[in-house]
Amino acid sequence: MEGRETERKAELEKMLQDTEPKPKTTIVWGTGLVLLVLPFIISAPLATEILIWGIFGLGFNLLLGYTGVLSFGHAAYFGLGAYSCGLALRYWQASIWTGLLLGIVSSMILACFIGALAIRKRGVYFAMISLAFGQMLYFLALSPLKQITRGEDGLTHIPMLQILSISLNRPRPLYYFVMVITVLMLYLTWRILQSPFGKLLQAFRENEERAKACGFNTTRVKFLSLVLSALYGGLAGALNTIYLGYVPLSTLFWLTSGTMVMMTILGGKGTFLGPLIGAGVFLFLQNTISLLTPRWELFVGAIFVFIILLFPAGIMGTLRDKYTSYRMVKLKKQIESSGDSI
Amino acid sequence: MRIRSVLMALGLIATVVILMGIAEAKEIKYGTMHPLTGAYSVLGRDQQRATEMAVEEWNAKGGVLGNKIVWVSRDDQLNGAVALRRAKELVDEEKCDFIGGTLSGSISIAINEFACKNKVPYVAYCMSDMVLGTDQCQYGSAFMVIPYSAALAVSKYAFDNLGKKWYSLTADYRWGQSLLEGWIWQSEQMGGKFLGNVYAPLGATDFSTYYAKILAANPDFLVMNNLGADQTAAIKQAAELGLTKKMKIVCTKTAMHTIKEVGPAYDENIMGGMTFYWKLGEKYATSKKFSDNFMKKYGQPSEQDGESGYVATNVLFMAMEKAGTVTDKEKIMNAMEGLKYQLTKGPEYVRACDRQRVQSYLLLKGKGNKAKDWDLADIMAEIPGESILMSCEDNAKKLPFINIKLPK
Amino acid sequence: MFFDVPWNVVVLQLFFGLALGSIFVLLASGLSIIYGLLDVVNFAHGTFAMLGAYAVFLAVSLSGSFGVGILSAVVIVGLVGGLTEYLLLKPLYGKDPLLPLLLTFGLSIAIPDLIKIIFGLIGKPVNYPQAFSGATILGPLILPNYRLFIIFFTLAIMISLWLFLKKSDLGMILRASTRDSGMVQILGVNVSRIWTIGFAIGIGLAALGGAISAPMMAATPDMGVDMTMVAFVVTVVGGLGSLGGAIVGGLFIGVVVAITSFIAGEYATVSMYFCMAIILLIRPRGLFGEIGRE
Repeated sequence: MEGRETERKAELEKMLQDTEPKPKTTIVWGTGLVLLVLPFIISAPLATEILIWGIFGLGFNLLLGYTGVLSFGHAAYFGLGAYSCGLALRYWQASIWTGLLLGIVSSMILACFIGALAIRKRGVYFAMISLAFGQMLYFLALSPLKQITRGEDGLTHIPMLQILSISLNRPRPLYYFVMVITVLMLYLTWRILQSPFGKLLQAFRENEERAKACGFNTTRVKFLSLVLSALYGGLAGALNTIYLGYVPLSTLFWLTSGTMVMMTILGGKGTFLGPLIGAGVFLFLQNTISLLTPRWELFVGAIFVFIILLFPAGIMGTLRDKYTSYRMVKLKKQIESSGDSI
Repeated sequence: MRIRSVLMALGLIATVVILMGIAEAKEIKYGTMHPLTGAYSVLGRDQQRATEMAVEEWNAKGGVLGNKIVWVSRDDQLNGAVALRRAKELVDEEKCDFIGGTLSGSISIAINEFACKNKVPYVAYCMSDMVLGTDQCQYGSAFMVIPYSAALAVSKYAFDNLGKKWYSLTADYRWGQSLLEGWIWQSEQMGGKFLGNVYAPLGATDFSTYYAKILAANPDFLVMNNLGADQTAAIKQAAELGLTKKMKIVCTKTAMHTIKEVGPAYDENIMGGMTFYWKLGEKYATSKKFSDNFMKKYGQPSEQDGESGYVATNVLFMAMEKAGTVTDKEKIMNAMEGLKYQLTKGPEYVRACDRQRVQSYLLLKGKGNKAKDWDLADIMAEIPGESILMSCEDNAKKLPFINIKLPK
Repeated sequence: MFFDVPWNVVVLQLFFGLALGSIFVLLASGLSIIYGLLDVVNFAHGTFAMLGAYAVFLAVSLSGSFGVGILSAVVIVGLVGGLTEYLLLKPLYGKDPLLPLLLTFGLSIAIPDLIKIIFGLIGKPVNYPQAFSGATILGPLILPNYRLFIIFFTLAIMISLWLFLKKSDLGMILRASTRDSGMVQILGVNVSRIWTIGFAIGIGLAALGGAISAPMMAATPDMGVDMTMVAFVVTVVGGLGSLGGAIVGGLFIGVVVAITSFIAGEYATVSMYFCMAIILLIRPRGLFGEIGRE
């Protein structure tokens, strides 16, 4: 009888595991296909922007959706990445890769600094502090550091770049370059989530107190998460510089941070594809509505409020929950039909 | 046989000529960008409206050289990144041959760079430094005065009429500083006495802390190098703190909506500069026609930014007519250089070396309680465009202003 | 640099700093009450202040009296605040604590656009009240009356608020709910209603801040953003959830900005963020904050 019980238990466990959404091959190929044809459906510049914000969001989501820390000043990492890359390209005639690397590294250093100061704080408090830090960076770039950042004008005269002798000045090649990097970052994110650290993050997402009780150093986890998210932010900022050929001051503005938050929530925090979907939907909405009325902020803001009230899990989150509950129902039926009762 | 061949040949030639004619009747795609959201949406909206009016007027008379104009406009949100994306969309997706607009000088510089890289003619509607130094290229043209010129115009009047001792309150960014440079230079030329300057950060709302210093310095007049909400707050608080009783206030650039927002505090002690004000209709028939048409169509007179867009759009089309082509962009820009016209003020022209519109600058005085509806100010002076221009060589080297040492 | 500045100019700067700081106090105290009571960081705080400015514009245009204007602003916008809490925030309690914050953020984006549709894009002027025009002269000091009004009025409001919280029954319940809302509920109080009232009071204070600012700068749709930032900075400096902290913090930041404007104008805005950074370094809970609240 005992043998049969262990067997039964293993069977139930396997069924339970099956209910967890896994990266299905169809989703992977579907995403790949969409990414490939996107510039033919919508404009290439818009598509490129969606990917750039998507990369930004992947990192931001690790922090918000998985670790549960809300940063309202993430524009600081985006902006710093953008400016470092821009300065390197303009003044040192750096190559693309140096520019991107510089963007990543500078943002991560900034994250270490801010993390050291503030990561221990409670959620809402950290949100406020991160916002204020973001603002500080913005005002520093606007005025006191004007000589370097060119203040309000933004950084111009960034040279046109080439990859393998294909000029990145044309929209399609630029899009595919960014797409390749996006795919790499998607893969990297997946690997991170599969790793022990990633599992820890998911434990965090479920219940931070319990993770702490299990002996994990929550502060260290949050700190690492912040720095990791800054990696993505800095990369996205640097890519933005390459895409625009220019670094506007608005990359550091609080609205950039706010937009990132909205995109992530919209797409579904704590889901894998959420940030990418969120970026797409948000930018598409903003673009389309602004063709009809200059008052697009009213609609986007109202939609956001609506989402928070009714679908706080966002698009992917709601889909995932529906899928999970559907699977749970199926599992229950399966178990009941095989004779056992719950 | 002979006659048949000749007729066939003639027929062929005729067909070819007709086909060429049909091929020539393509549409002109013109795309513009304006801040329709954000703090300056009032001005962006006027830019958009004036462009619409210009395009409709031209299409009503058959377009340019028989080609219809198709116009699209986009919101740039006064944001550099968005503006550049719009520019890319307009050129790459909408296939616009010509672009125009934007309100922010710094954005216009970025758009100008884009236009030069992609060889797309760009007519800028705003106060821009893009025609100076190394920033310019053949495809960019600017239709509002450059900041230095505004300062030169207003300062000349001030030193002639208001006194010699002056203090300044400057918004701390490139545009404000350019204005200040112009003032300092003119002050040196005309024997002015510069008592000092205070920088206020962009977006400042409380100016009381700056005014104590200014009151103590006791100048003949206070120069304000700011605009928008900053200027509104600065003037309101200047009146509150009694500054206006002790000194005149001179705003290098002001706007109708600012005067409205300040209310009766914008009185005879306050002067401001604009490139256009509808009351010019009392002097020029062209001004009256433009303002009346705009008023009839949109219910209110146009701000200077609208007028600037109207002229820019018109001049672009006029250049096409003069060049005799709507596709050869280099030829069109060449035709624009030196183009003479009279559209909304007196006779004007586009300077050849830098494709800058040479236009007059107005100085207005507030009316306080006597202001009613859109009768918000009286025009005190119209300073001719040529007197506020630097030479082509100086412009290319950003002289003489690049040598001015700004106070810390 | 300080030494060749006449003393009366320094005093004047301090005076202006206090006036500026008083407005900060009004904004921050509202934010602090809302946070203390509801654990909600109100991202739309400045937006409500902006509504207060528009309300005073409307009321003054209709009644001609500034006093009526301020009262209307507080009451009307306070009610709007209460309604907002009841309809939009209440459904979110008990769920993810970040949701209310995000909701208020959405409001801060949508509401200014709504105001643009209703009132247009051009700002609305509000005149200084006749009663407080001119200045009081104390020797070499010329103190504008409206600024004096701001300082004393804020003082009066803060004293009333303190008395209300300390002495009245409702105030006592509010304070208790801040400490332990569960206990208050067990004792039979309708805590849900208390939360709505508390939120409305916080919003009323914000509206007051906006209304008082209106004569100095005109009511514009986008004026709220900076006010929200200021409220945040002051709250971090003073200590989240502490009313005393909001008062001291507000005045302190006001004076810092005033002094910085005098010495190096372009750093005026950055200076308050520097203060915040320094406080985070040396005393993370804020001047009057409690440990554990952060």
